[in-house]
Amino acid sequence: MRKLALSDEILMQIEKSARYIGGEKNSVMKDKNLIDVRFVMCFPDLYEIGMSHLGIQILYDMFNSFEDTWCERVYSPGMDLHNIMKEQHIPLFALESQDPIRDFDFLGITLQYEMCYTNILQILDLSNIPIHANKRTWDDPIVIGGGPCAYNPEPIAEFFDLFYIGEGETQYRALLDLYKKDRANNTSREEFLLHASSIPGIYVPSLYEVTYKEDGTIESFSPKFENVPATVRKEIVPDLNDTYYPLKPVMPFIKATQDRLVLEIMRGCIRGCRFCQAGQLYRPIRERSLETLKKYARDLIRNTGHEEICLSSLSSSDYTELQELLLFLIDECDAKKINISLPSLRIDQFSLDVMNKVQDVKKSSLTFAPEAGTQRLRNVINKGLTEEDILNGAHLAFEGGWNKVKLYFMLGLPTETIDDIKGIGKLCNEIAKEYFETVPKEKRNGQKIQITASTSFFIPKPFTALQWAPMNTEEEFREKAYQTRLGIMEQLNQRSIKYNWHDTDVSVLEGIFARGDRKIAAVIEDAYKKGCIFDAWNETFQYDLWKQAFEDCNISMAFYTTRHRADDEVFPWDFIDIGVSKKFLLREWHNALAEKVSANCRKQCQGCGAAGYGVGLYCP
Amino acid sequence: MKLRIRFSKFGPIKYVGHLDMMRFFQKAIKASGIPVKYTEGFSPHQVLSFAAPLGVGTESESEYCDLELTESTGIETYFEPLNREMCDGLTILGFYELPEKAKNAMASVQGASYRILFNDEKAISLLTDSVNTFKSSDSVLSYKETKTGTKERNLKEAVYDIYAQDGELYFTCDASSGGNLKPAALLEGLFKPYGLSFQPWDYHIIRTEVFARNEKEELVPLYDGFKELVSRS
Repeated sequence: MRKLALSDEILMQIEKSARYIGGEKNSVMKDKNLIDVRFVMCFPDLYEIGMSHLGIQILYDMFNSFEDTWCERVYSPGMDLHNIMKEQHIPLFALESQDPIRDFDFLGITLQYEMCYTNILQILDLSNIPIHANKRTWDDPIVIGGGPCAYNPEPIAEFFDLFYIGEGETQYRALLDLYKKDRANNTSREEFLLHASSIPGIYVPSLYEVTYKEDGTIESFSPKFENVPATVRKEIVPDLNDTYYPLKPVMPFIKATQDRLVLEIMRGCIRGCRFCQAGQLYRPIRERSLETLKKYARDLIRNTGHEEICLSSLSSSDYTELQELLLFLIDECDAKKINISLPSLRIDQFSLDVMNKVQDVKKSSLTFAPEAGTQRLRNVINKGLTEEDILNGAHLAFEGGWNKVKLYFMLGLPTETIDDIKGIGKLCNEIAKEYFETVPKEKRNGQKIQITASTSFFIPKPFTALQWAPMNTEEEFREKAYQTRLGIMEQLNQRSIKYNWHDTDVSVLEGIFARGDRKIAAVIEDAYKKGCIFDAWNETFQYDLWKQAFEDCNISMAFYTTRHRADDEVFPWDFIDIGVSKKFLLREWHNALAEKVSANCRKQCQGCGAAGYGVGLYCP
Repeated sequence: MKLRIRFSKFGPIKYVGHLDMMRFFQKAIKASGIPVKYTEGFSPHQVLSFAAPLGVGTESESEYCDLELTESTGIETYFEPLNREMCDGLTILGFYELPEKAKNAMASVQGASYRILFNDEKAISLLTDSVNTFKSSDSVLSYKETKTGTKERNLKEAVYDIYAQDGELYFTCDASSGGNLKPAALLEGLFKPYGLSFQPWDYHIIRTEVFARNEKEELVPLYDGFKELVSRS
């Protein structure tokens, strides 16, 4: 029987102790004496969040398929355990072996959202690994970051030895081989990092120097040594049918946030919405074939016994063989009594038919993401969805018996005026009107139309056309949410419309981290020391402490959020080459300001640059 | 047909609570291929019932769950497949066939037996004495705080058999839905006269059996009287 790192006394005191025991079905045990590289993969949030993430499962599967490597997992301990570990000096441990994290060769941290940054420091702190990369020795693991936030790694650069830019399936083998060779040759840690910088996709922050202008923007960003590349190009998997996929995913003991099988159908998105970072980062578009997905689905169902399956992609409606795939799944899942959890599909007759088959119409709702209240502003952000599309879709759905509609909008988009904000209420009202016109009173069976409008605050992200855009101030955000509410209350059908909005303060911080530079690291460190942790959780987010940290570090928040950026500003993330050129993004920024729409990849190539990978489905 | 599954639970998996165990079994049962019956509707689920919830941190030599099946022949062939779907620490011990009209596992439970191991030397040294005192008393009262006030209970009526051996405590007690006795409540009653009180990590609980009552009102293991299809020797 495995021996646990925590005593019964501790495990009996804390919440959800099953988070910390490992031993889940499909978790991998190896003999540590027979392997060369010990890798621990970390999602810096609670177990039930981290265990819902497909990316880690893919890499876990890949690493453990290497005979010389044992990959384990670690997540953020909850605050109850965190405090006990601090008090009793218990080092953070990996779930499988229950061995201290510091004993590992690599600590890989996935960066899925900006608000996890203090949790990275928690992981390092509890592991007794120096939080600054330049203080580490061979007694510490190589700390490597990856995932979407690694595309602007600068705010957390000094906490990491390496970053992996792009899809993890391609270059880890080369990195592990280099590590084995260098360790065998007694190479210094610094030498190893230097060698690693020549592996495609690997960014070694300590090997670059940044100088700043008087106004605080970047003057230059350059390698310290001649043989270190000036740019780091994103890695991608060329063929999704010929790569790793976790057909035996680890099955969490406690209910994960996403307690279902995940079938990743494609990467990339044809749409080119100008606010969307994922839409650019994962270019070019690559699909998994129907045959591959059928096989994966069958294997996953057999290997796990899961009761639910879902599709994963940025825009499932654009998957070329969606109809065939869904019809196959409906058949297969009906026979095996598995629920299909549908992604948000473009509403048309086919998707409504599918929804009708797999979910209870009375309980399910339609989802639209117009993102902006008027066509003008939708043109600015290049969101193809028109009011006509929405009303036609809603009309069809109402005829089919649906009466719940969810709508998602953003406030604070560039060029936004009061008309755009009022447009949100108007659009909701039109949908309600469509319902009353479509469904005569005698057919409503006492049901009411329920429209839920939700707004989030627009946060400009790196590698989007809107990366130049100033973000709104907190006061503007609050005022806009208030105006949205007023706009809804003015409507004839206001009683059918419910309005939700997000908090402003988390958005401000997310905005700072998203477009932050190396100067932000000091603030993150200070905030952690002041007690900031689990910032993605409402109940633990402490905005006052964060504001204090900015003040104490003498860093202006507005510099990162509301400041206007010139077309030729050097951004902290410019050294990363995601395949999509800055020139293209700038052109799109100007198109946005001119309210000019650009066609999607399938209709007409816009020359973003991702064709350079040579594998894009619609690339010339 | 209805199937009763007997299993044991030891080691770190004792920290997996009752609801999570149910979710685990649903998946394991599905993956094993047992022809389990599902409810109708948009989210079909297995007709699965666990006998007596096991507290977090408690191990068990003998747990039960009932399952409705769509087939009645060759069920024993799923015994090994289901065992393969188990995690470290979980072992399927036996399959028993229940008649259609049999009460489900949860409704059948009337008693349970436990074995308690102590980490505390003082508790071990006082154990025999405290058990003798308990046995010779007419009543040992236990108090439980509830929403409607403090509830008094005579532990002597809830404990059917009790003895100490080699510094360990063994007892059989009421585990019915209306009168389930928690081991912690008995320990409190046993050691209070000696001024000893315990935290949940001062001792280690192993449930050794779960019981129903037969026609003669005797306590018998939950598998007793049913046809054994297959069991681990």
